[in-house]
Amino acid sequence: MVRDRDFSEQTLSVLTALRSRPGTWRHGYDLARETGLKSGTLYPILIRLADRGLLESCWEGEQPAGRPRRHLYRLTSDGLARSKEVLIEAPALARPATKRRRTVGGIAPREA
Amino acid sequence: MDRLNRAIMTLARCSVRVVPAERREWAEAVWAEAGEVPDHRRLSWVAGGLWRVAREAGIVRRIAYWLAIAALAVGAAEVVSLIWRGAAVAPGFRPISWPTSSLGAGVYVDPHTTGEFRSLAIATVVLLVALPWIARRRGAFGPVSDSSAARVVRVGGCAGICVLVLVLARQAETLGEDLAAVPWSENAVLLGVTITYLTVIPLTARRWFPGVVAMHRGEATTLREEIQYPVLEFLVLGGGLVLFVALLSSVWCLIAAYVAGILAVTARGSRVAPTTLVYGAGAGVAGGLILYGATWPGRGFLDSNPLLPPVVIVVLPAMMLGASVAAARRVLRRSDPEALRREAWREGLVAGALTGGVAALLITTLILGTMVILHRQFPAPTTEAYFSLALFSPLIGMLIGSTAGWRADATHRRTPQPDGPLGVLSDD
Repeated sequence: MVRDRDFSEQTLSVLTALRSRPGTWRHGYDLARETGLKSGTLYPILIRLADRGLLESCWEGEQPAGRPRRHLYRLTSDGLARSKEVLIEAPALARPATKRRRTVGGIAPREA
Repeated sequence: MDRLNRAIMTLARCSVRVVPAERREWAEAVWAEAGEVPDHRRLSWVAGGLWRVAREAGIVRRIAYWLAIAALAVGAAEVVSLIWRGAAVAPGFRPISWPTSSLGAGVYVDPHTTGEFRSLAIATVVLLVALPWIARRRGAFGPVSDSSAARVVRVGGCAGICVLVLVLARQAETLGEDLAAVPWSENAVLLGVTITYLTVIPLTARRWFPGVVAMHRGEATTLREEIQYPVLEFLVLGGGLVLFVALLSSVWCLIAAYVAGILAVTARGSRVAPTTLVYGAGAGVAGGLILYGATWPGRGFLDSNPLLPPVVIVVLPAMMLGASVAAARRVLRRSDPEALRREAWREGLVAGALTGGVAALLITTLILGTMVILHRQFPAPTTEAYFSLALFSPLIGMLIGSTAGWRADATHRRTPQPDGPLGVLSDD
């Protein structure tokens, strides 16, 4: 059982971003832009969510032209259920980090 | 700049391969995403991401561990080199006259000094080998607490002690200082007494101390307890006196006590708050640097240096007091009055002792190190002055700190609080 106190404000913002399009595979930079988190914060969160079985990941199927394959993420069924619980319990913390930090390392975030 | 960026990116690309297999996918993900990031932010994206993935994979800790082992190996090699070369001291050399004496052709090897520095060198090797072993064992001295403050204090303190012992060995070699006037055999006995006391007391105190306190309150009832606790108290106090004499007589014992103190307050089982370590060590570093600045060559010692008496008499005790009061006040938030009294006293005592110990360790290492490395003369009459400081400074810190903790508790109790007569606040 994952304790609620284990979900930091940043983790909740990642869960919110992933829940906003459930079932859709998202890539790291996309999540970073939406949440306003830097790579050094985002990836440890993704790793921990994956370790707890709340997040699944895979590599893009085909090799796109001109760029490397992306690593993609989405919530598992457990992740969707758990994120629903914690986001109901802590709605104030779940607002996107972009409300507090306007840029991702100087890059303007995309409108949520 | 582009060239530098490219070099760092290449390094980052190579570092992906260093990440353990179970985490490598994440490091490659960070790298793969870098293509999406605008050019001017790509470097920070890759660097930040890979750094944190490496931390998650425990690589940073492993690198720090191997760097520490490498540092220990260098220290051990230095000691072996010292033993191999032997002590070379100019005839008629007096440390106070440095640097007018010179080492060179026709140097005279003093067998007494050779023995001294060899014993110190061996002590260094023992210290270097024993420290990692002791620090990893479960008990009063290890393993290290999870807090960053404890880790920094433990690593910094042990490194400082290793440097001090190396400096002492170097000093015995180059300056011919008479550090260990106590014979070898006597030193070994004193060290044995010290280590036994320092090892047994934490175990004994944890198990029997509540009984001794109960006895003083008249709560001990059985005949066995009425005999057992006074005997125990006598042994602890008598052993403490023997320990004091040992610390006064032997540098080795003093070093063993410092190591034990640092390990004990930073161990996982220690009840000392991380903030107390920060206050104590921070004030100690500041005090040591101020003291070093006040004794810089040419400024004279106590009799001729107007800066030094105020520093020794006012600044250092004031720092002990400040750190102790801050540490004691930090814990005055508990709801249990008895726990509150005990904790305020303990935190004050540790903060004061840490301030005194760190300041003394720093000043001794810096001054003796400067004498050895830069060949500068400091106006202290003998090295014993610094060892006296190393012994009495933590003791004075304990006295000031425990008094400050007790006073902070008493003041807190007298002050009317909105939540109740004892000023009960919510627990941390």
